[in-house]
This record gives sequence, structure tokens and C-alpha cells, in this order.
Amino acid sequence: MKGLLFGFFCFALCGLVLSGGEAFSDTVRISQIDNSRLLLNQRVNVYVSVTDRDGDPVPNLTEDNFTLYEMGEQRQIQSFQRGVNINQGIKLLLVVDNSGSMYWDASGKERNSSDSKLWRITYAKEAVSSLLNNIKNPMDRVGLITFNVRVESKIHLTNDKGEIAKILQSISRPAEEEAYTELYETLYQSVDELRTYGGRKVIILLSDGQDFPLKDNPHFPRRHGIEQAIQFAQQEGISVFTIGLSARADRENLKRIAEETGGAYFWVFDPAQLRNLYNLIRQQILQEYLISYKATMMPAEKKPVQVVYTAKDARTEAERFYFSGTLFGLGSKSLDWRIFIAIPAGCALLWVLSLLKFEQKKALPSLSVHTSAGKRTQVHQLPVTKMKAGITIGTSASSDVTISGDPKIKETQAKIAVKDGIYTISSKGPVTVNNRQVTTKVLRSGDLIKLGDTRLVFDTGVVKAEVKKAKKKSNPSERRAVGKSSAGTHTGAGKPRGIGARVKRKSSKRRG
Amino acid sequence: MTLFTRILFFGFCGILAGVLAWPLIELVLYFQAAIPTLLLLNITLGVAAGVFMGGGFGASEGIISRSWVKIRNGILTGLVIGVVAGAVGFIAGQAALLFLGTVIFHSAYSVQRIGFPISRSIGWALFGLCIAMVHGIRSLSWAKIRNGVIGGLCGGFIGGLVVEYLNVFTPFAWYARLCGFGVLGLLIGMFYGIVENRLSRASLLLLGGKSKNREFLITQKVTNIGASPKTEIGIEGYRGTSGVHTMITRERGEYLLTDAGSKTGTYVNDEKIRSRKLKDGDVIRMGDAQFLFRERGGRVDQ
Repeated sequence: MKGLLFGFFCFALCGLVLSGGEAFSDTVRISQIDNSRLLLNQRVNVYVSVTDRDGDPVPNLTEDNFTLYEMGEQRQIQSFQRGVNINQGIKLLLVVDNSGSMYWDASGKERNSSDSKLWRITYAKEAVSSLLNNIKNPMDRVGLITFNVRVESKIHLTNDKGEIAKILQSISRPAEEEAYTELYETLYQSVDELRTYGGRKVIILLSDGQDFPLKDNPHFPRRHGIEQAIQFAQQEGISVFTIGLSARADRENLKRIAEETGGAYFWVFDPAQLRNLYNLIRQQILQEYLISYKATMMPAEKKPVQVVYTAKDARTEAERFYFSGTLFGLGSKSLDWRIFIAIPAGCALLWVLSLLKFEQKKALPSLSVHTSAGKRTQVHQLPVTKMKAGITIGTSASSDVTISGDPKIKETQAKIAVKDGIYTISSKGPVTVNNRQVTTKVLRSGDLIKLGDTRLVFDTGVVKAEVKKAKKKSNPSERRAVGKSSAGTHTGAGKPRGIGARVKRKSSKRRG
Repeated sequence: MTLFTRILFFGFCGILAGVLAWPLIELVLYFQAAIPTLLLLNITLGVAAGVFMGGGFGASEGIISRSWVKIRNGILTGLVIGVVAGAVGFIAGQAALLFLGTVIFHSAYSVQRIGFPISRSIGWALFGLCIAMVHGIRSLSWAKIRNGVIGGLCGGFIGGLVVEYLNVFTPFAWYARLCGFGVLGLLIGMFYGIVENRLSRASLLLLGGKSKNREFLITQKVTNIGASPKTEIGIEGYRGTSGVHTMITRERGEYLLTDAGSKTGTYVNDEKIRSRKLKDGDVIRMGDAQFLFRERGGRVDQ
């Protein structure tokens, strides 16, 4: 999970600290931090909610009531807005417990009340209906999830209230074997459902019990615990408001979920209060204040934001983190001067590269043979300096340069003779040099000789003076025939490469 | 030099360019707190990376053809383009990140798992694209710019991913960014070389002399050949070649060879010509240098 912390564009949050003085009943909460404007104008938006003792939102506060710190450094508030969620709309996902106990009597005394009007679920349904009726903003989206041993019904976020109302009516009592409460896994899946939406995202989780998972639940082969569910919600910037219904509700964990995700926990004994509660939560969200400030440039993967709320000489504060990693991650803590060696070292290597010569400095006259064996080309270097009077090229073993496997070459096809450093090719039959058919020609460096399917490139070498020296030095007795080479063993059944000669020439051009 | 060594050469120059850029990036990151906004930080990082990578890539073609004029010009244009490219690439990358984050994903979960690496790599790709265009912009050749676009995009994208994931898996290794930059440079360089190789449909192979077996790709509409290092195909150390000896122009997939008023003339298949349409396998001679003209469509053996 550490890897997930990496990065900077997210609404993710890591922790929330709630603290309130005894004498001071107002509570401040950072419900969300939006850093999507960070790159463009260095702005960070903080959604702050202030509620009084009864949980009602405190309206009409001004920016003088708030002081803001990032990484312990006070930041100037750049803009302050009220009721910002009224314009943008809320994405609300209602998660309702539909376990067996929800069909108990509202007083909790009678377990199998036959009067469906007294069931807890009935109150919950009414509360949801009432909430839906209060939602008039076309920008708002509501979804619904009910759960017991599995996620029972699921409505994706919609602004079609009728659809939700229809599903709401179809909620029915689970069978005995389904009456478990997969609380945490459902929360996890709810976050997963909500995470793809933008804007202010809120889950309202209603449960009358505690997480009561079925062992080896076939619906959830892999189950997430409370830690993972909270972490997921934090990471997605989703606030989870939790409602504990009845005395059996898991107060401790529901409270933890709410506080760590930027929501709030409410405990209700009388299900008749649910109706007000759902609307209250919505009002709280709608009444959030949006404070934006200019972020610091301190390098950090995550930065804490602290909001201090002061009114009537009392103060209370809330803290929350947002992620602010940069494209390259964090710089190193200490800058080692040795890394700068890389610059001269790199330059030096580039310089060395520029000195590299992909050239042959000196080369003796040579003849390279390229036969086409299949698709590959074989290259044979044949020095033609220490010659008797010349070398012969042909298919027979007695040739100086033997080319085997090329059926188009006659026994002794061509001969290269040397005299005073001038090489002349001659042939009984016509031979193709530089795409021209000749019978004899003075060769120049880089001439392309074609025999059948075989190509030979003649090269006089580079440094003529040195070649002459080498010639003088060489003992006549050492003047053996040019190393016989069996050039090319097989010739593919390839057709002749269509470079035919066009003009017949009997004489060759002479050029010193 | 064969085409393969040419690709390797580009890759190696790329690594060196990345290695050059690295210390400066570290320096900027170290002084991050002193930079007023995130946007400015990104511009600074982009420029820092662009200066050296642009310079390195600009020099690489000159280094390959061993022409000091080309090296100097390459470094100068590379620096300028690199600065612009770096800043543009980084901001574009951040914008892409922002766009993907807000419009497509809306979700920190997706953004971190997929969005971050992808968006950042898109940023890197844009960066690589601009850097790899150094060659093309210098010679004002659309084909080379196109090569740069493809090579830079692919190389930048993969290189960027490497940087991303190295950072994810080894967040405290001092060499992570160094490796990342090296890989980025290598890939941009090699992709550029490969794509250049792929996209050019004709080449000239030197048949003899000093630079025997060296193959030159014909990538531009007008390719000058001569002894001057300023020409696209500059050959040194061949007697009888003029500064700008011959040029090859490409029109509708056909290559036309025209003598550029040379002293010794231009020969195709041992025939002196002024202008001639080339076909696969033709042997071109200017001075002491003989080339084999090869078209990629019809394969010709060496």
C-alpha cells in the first residue's frame, strides 16, 4: 500500500483529529481536501464543516473565524465560500443495513413484531424517502445499497428519485441464513461504487448492529476489514457518515469510521429520528465552507492541513492530510557533490565518442564476396596484393577465388590482373561491372562485380603508399597464391536480382 | 558503420544525455522549497532536463558523422529546443495528469494505479517527442521531424514508465532517477534510430575507401552529397569529390539524382550523367567514392 501513497493528485486523506473543549460545543471538521488546482495556481481547497452541539451546521461564519496551517506554517486564506456544495451538487450513497434485526420492533423489545409499521427498516425507508423528497437540486446524485450477508440491491448514482423509491419498496426481509451483517465489506464495496464520480462524495451508512460476517461467505470470497475500508475511503476522499441505530449498534467502530474519513457519527435510539437525521447530514454537507489557500513548496509526499476555528473566545481545530508528491518524487535529503561528476564524465564520454572513427585507416586492396545464401549475405575478404599475375574467380577448386553453389557461374569466369597497381578485370564471357556488361575493365575502388547471383566488391584499399611498402617488403618466396577460399557454399534458389546490363561495352574506361 | 551500430550509437548518446541531465534534476529537486509554485518547479525541471538531453541528442548525429560543424549546430539547436521541449513536455504532462484525473478517473484509486504512470508517461512522451525532434528541426526535414515524433513518443512513454516504476519500487535509491533518465535517453535514441531506419525507403552504401560499408539513409526530400560536412551525406577523404557534389531529390516515391555542378562529374553505372532517375542497384560514383543505391522495397543483397 505504500506505493499507493505515491503521487500528488488525489483527494486522499490520512487522518482527522477531532477535538473540542468542554465549554465549547461547536465542532470543526475538515471533510475534504481538493488539491486538483495545485498545479495550475498552487491552490488547495479545503472543505470545512462546523456544527453545533446538536449537530446542526453553524451558518454565516466568516473567514475571520478560521486560521489555516500547512505543515505547521500559517497560510493566508485566499478565498472563502459558503454553501459551495449547493451549486456543485453532492454525490450521496445511502448504505442501509437489511439484516434480520432491522425487522425488529422499533423499541427493540419485541423481536418478531408482526406490525411492519414498527420495524426499524420501515423507519429507515421513510427516512430515505423523506431525504429524496428534500433533494431538489438537479446536480445531486443519489445511490442506494442494502446489505446483509451480501450486497442485496444496488442502485448506481442517479437523479431519478422514482427509481430509488421503487427499489426502496422492494426491500424485503432476509431469510434466516442471510441475516448476517457484512458491514466492512459492504463499506468497501460502497467506496468502490462511489469512487468513480467527481465532486463532493458522501456515504451515509446506517446499521443497527456490528460487523457480523458469515464464515466462508460464498458472496465474498475475499473480504476487506475495517482498516482497508477506511483506508480506501480516505484515499478516495469520501466522507462516511455513520448512523448507529439502537443500543446494539457498534458505537466504537462506527465512530472510528466516521472520524477517520471526515464524516460524523450519530447514535439514534428511536428510529423515528432517522428522518431528521438524514436531512441534517445533508444540510451539514450543504453548509460546508470552502476555504482555499496557497500551498507551500516544502517537499513532502503528504502535507497536513490544520484548520483552527475560533468563535466566542474559544477555539477548536481539525487536521487532515493531502498528498503532494511531484513528478520526480522527493529530492534527496542531502545533495552529494559527487553526482556532479556525471556532467564532466558524460561530456568526456561524448567527446570520446566523437573521436571514434568508423573508418578503415588503412586497408589493403581487397575483394569482398557476397553470395546470396538464402536471405543472408556472406562476406569474404580476399586480399589481392600479393599476386602472381592476377587471380582467377570461378567455380572450380583451382580458381584463386572459388565460388561454389552458384550454378550460373562458369568454371573460370573472370580474372583480375594487376600491373603497376592497376587492376584489370577480364573475362572470356561478358561480366557485369557496375551494372554494365564488359569483357575487360580497369577496376576502381568500389566497383561492383556481378557473377551469376554472386556480387564482388573490389576495393583498392586506403593508403596506397603503405600497400606499396608492404609489397616491397614481402619476400618473393612468400608470394603464394591468394588464399583459396571457398566463398559461399549454398546459393538460394533465388532468382537473379534484376540488375541487368543494358549497354554492352567492349572497352573499359581508363583512368589513373 | 552499419545501420545497427548507428542505432546503438544513438542509444548510447541518449544514455549519456540522460546521465548529463540527472545531476541538474537532483539539484532542482533539492532546492524545491525555494521555488514559489509547483508550475514553476515543473518548468524548471523541464528546462533542466531539456538543456542536457536536447544538447546530447543534438550532438549525436554530428558525432556519428564526425562533423564538428554538425556537433556544434546540434548542441546549439538542441539546447534551444530542449529548453522549450522540456518545459512544454512537463507542463503538458501535468495537464494530461490533471485532465485524466479530473475528467476521466475522478478517483484517486484509478489515478494512482493507472492514471499516474500513464499520465506521467504521456508527459514524458511529449518531452521525448520534442527532444527527438532536434534532428529534424535542425535540418528542417519533415521526414526527420516525423521520425522524431514517433521515436520520441514511444521512447519517452516507455522511458517515463521506467522512471515511474523505479520510483515506486525503490523510492529511496539514489540511483533510481539516474537509471530512469538513462533508460529514457537510451530508448529515445534507439527508437529514433530504429524508426529512422524503418521509415526511410532508400539508402546509399559506400562500396569502398575509408568509410567502406557505411550506409546512409535517405530520409529527406532533398539530400545533398559531398565532401562538405554540412551536407546530409558528408563523405570525407575521397579524392575528387566537391563540397556539394550531387543531390538526390525524392518525388512521389522516385529518386532523382542530379549533379550539383561538380568538377569531376557524377556517374551512374559508369555513365556520366547530369540527372538520372535512380533504381535499385544502381552504382553511383562521385570522385573516388562509389555508392550502391538501394531501395527498401526491392531487397538487394550487400
